[in-house]
Amino acid sequence: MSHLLEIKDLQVQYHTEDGTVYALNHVDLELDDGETLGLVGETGAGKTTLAKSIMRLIPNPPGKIEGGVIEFDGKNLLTASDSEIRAVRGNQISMIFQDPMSSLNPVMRVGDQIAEVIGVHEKCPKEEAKRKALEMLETVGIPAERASDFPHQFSGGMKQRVVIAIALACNPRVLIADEPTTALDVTIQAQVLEMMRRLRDKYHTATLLITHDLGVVAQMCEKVAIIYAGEVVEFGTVHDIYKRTLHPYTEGLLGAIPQVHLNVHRLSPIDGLMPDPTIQRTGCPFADRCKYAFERCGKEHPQFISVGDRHKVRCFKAEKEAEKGGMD
Amino acid sequence: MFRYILKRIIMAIPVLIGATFLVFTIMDFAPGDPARIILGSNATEAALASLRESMGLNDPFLIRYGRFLLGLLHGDLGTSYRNGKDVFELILGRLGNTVVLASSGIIFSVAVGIPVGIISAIKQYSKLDNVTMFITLFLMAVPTFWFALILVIIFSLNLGWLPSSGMQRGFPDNVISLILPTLTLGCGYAALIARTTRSSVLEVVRQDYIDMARAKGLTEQAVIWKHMLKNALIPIVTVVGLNFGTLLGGSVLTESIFSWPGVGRFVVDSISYKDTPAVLGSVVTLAILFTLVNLVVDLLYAFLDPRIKSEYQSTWKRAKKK
Repeated sequence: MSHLLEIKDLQVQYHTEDGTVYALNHVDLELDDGETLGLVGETGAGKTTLAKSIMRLIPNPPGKIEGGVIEFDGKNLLTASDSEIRAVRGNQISMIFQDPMSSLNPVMRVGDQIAEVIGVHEKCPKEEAKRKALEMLETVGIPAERASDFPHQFSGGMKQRVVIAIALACNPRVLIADEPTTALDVTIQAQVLEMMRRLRDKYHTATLLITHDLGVVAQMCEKVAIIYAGEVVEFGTVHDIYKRTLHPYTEGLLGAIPQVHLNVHRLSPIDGLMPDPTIQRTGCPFADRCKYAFERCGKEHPQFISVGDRHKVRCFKAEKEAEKGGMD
Repeated sequence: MFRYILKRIIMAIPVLIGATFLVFTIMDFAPGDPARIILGSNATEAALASLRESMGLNDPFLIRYGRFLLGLLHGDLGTSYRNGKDVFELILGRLGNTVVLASSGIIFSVAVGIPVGIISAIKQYSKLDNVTMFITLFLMAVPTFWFALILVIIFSLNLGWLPSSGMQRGFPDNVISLILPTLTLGCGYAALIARTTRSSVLEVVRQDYIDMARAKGLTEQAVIWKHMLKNALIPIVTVVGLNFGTLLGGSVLTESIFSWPGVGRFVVDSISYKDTPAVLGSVVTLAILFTLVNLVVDLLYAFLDPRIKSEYQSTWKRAKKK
């Protein structure tokens, strides 16, 4: 079965003066039509690098996509020509950036910024693009008469709505949302997420939602990928990840969520830090912080194995348990 | 917008009074007797005294300054001590030449500086960038008189392509005689503008909205010209505006070296003759010009950056009505 967006063995490195940073190591990921996939990981795990790789927006130098395949609709984006990738950007695949404060051009009217993307891809006359831009503004809950305003006249939440309007203006098949609510305060977060969910259902857009908030994932996503130190360590449905957790890192993440209904005095954070990304390691990158680690974990790199329908994990402990389970 | 302009023009008045007062005082304290300059060294003491009396030179300082201001209000800048001609007309005859030289210098420096700066920024740390930055640093550090002389040696003496000085009349001679002064003025400013552009573009280049523009599927050209440059333009406009103001003030050195009949040389000559009306008249004219250029720059800010304030008619209002 072929997927709408399929990432295979993606490797991205940043070549800096202080050495090579291994940002993404052999990442595999898939996204189906209309589906929402949550990509969860801590800061520096490679989430944004992954998002920018799909759009081919990794700044080069210092970044470089060293290997792998990103297949969109059967076509490898990594080998596509510049004009081919431009036809995909903003049209088939759109991206929402982390910080709405800085992702709008401060000297351009918001209406023009929306109309611009429509004009580029739909090759329609200016007036037509402007009319569509006004519609789009209304869709994200901003009155059309504010189209002639500049970004500084909007609040953070409103700006993110404008960014979403730009992203969805050409009705893309995939939306990449890179921590769309991290920079907003909590009440606005809920509004923006609610709106995103409504629009996703309306336009049937497949979404890659990048976040470090597992609560948001439970609300929004069908599938989850947990990313750690540049590799996907566990992948599955929301139910798989929350109820049949396999990877100790996922377990740790879930343990770090405050549970109001349980009588817990302290949250249990994961001890230690992510490994230095400039060092290539032979063993499992999580081994140092893993309470289940055994000898093999420090020596060999675990493979990404399937344990169930679409549940995948990269862990020797889970591998062992799966084998045992299989024998029963 | 109109009220802002009016306010700025009114604010120029104290500047003018201050500048003229300062120059008037300095010229007054400087040695030399205007009556002797006018009548020559053979004049009798009696003739000198009567001329002083009739010109009001024996009146107290403030009364003489007040008389000058009164004349200024009537648009009368007085007559030159040197040749008895109307100062206003003398300046007017030279102002055009200065404006031509200043404009061509600025146009040259902008036309060269901005593209060089952009390319340098986009190819940051490349060989091209390093070489460009070295050349611009050199051009900025080089003194004008030396650079002008080198240009004259190369293009006039050795190659014989261009005249070494003077302003010729008639096309294309006038343009040809403009080339060396323009290069002298323009190269240093082009270097300054290139460096300003580079650092300004570099600040913009890593902004999220530039990634966002690329993520929209725009071509790299559109990203640079539509999104980067307009955001990077304010520091560039500041530098260009200030330079243009300074250049209008007469680039004394360049005009002297190339015997360019502009205001800068006129002021220097007038000072050495203690031709007070001519000096004051020039100062007033240049101060007004400088104020105007600055006003235009400030208005440009508002035009470039909506956060500073823009007040032009929106195309959006028309779109909505349809």
